Amino acid sequence: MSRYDAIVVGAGAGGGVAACVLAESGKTVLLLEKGHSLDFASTGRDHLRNHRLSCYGHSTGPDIEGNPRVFEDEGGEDRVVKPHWGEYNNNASCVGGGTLVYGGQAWRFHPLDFRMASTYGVPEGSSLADWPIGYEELEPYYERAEHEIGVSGGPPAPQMPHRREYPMPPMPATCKGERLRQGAARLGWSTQAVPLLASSIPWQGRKACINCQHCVGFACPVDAKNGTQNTVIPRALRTGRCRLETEATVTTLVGDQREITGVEYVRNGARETAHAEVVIVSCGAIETARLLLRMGLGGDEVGRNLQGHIYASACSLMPEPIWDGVGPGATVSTLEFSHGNDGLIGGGMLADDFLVLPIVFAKWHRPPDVPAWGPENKRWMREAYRRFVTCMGPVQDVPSRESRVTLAYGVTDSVGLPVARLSGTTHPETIRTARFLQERAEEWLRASGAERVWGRQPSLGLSAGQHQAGTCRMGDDPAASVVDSFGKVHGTRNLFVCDASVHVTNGGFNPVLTVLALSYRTTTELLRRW
Amino acid sequence: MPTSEWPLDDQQLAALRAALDRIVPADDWPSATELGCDEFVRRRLEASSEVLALYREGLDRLVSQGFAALPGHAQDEIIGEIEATRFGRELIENGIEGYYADPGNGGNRGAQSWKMMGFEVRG
Repeated sequence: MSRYDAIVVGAGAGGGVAACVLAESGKTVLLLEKGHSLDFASTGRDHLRNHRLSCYGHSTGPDIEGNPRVFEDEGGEDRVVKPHWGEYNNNASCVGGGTLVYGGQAWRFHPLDFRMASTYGVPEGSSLADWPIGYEELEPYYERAEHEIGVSGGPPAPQMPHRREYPMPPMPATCKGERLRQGAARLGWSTQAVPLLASSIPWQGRKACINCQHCVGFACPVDAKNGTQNTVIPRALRTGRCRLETEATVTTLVGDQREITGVEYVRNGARETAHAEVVIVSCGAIETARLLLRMGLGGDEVGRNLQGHIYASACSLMPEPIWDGVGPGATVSTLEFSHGNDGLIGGGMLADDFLVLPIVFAKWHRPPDVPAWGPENKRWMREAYRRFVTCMGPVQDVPSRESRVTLAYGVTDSVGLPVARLSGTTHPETIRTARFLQERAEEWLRASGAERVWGRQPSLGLSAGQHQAGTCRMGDDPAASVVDSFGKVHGTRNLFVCDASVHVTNGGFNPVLTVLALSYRTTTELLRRW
Repeated sequence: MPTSEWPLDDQQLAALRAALDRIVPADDWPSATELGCDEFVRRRLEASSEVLALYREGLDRLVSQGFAALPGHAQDEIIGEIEATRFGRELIENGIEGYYADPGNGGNRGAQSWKMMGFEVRG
């Protein structure tokens, strides 16, 4: 039996930061990760098995066998789904979690993202609510995440006041970015570079981004993408006070409703037990909820308000080739429609996309009048690829209590535990906002000189994969939330959640910087009270 | 690729190759099988007994129509008819995947489809 000051379950964005903050403050930490420790060499560039497109598998976990989920489809039927299927709503499961393979858009949430209910009211059937904290309280921790993990960009968007510039300049301008900047200027829309958790210059002893063509969905060939796996987790390990165990599946939180005294886990087929003063769960919004549900901890709200992001997007053809192959590719954004859209709830950021791989172009971006095969399809692929530009953005989810994680009794994982069951969708108001944003994306592309613009109507459905959030909602009222404003599970003395589970709403932005910032805040406060 | 390594008989294989070359036909650039899309499909069949059964059944139907020996426009008509079936969707998707995904998957030999499109891997 081992004893630590803290046990952190899950070595992704939230767990990595938590382990580092605690270990560097002198605490002993056991960091447990279900997945493997991976890098570029072990994950490669398979265009059909990556985190962007996972037709036949993926390279970054969870392992395809032994980790099913159950998904309730539109007809109310339960189906057992595998990790690389869309319905699974996967996020990478490995050291670093999604941060190993993300595109790394480093957005702070907008100040109004924390006050959705008081800004817009609560639509019937939704569980829209304000956060118990505001932008100002999170601001110092956003700054810390930007500077410790490493963000390239700037100048920062004025909607989210910064005290310091980003630590690295933006990535190089691209032809399509320049074109879109001009288009936005014609419309009178302000723009800024997309802030990225990747290095535009050498950073912390690692190389700068080589602007390759395989960023989002893949590990970085020169380790210039900044995740927890190459920043805070190595820092935690260097203290000598943090022990990282991979391929370790937590089976039990030991203790009672008030006090957790440790965890039991399985590693290499062996059952292990470790004890600690504090236990932090950071497995992502689906697996964190599953663990608390299995343990009967956190009350009736655990697993509810599952959300992510439905994306609004539009595609276009420019009159001449514009592809310059300069990655990562997400370069220019507008926050004109984050809030204040007439008659709509919330909004979202719009930006250009990461470089699109040929097979992704073939599968996702074909206009409705181009056939799926044959000579016309081939001509399209040949003539359109280098003229293609797309704009998109994550639409602020209007949450619903009926969108949720429960336990799928009768379906178990490789260690015999009931798996997560996903059901419900976000509130239909989200789709009205998504349609509006799609129209704005189309408008932007037309103003940028596109000779042809098309889009796909956004439709209602669960979209809680990489951006999964909301299942252990933060709040002051224990009857209506799971954790307090510092991430501590209501009613417990020493059980914390450090991941997007605690998000009350998920912003109209990629959520990872908020996950990182909240983890800094939660663990800083935990140390203060220790 | 010798036929003996295929989990398909000669007629099924001939129908498969003919169909793939209608899904991505030759023009100034190579056809599907010229870039190894048949090898891409072979790996799919090797990986999944379910997919193998789907292909065998679907290809048998094409064989019964004399698919491989039909003129191109007649082959196109048949593919059009099966486009919305499970087998048809799989066949078309696999043809496109074989042609445009990375060469490590067995198709897209020499990354020629990427050259055709202008997708350059520089880093």
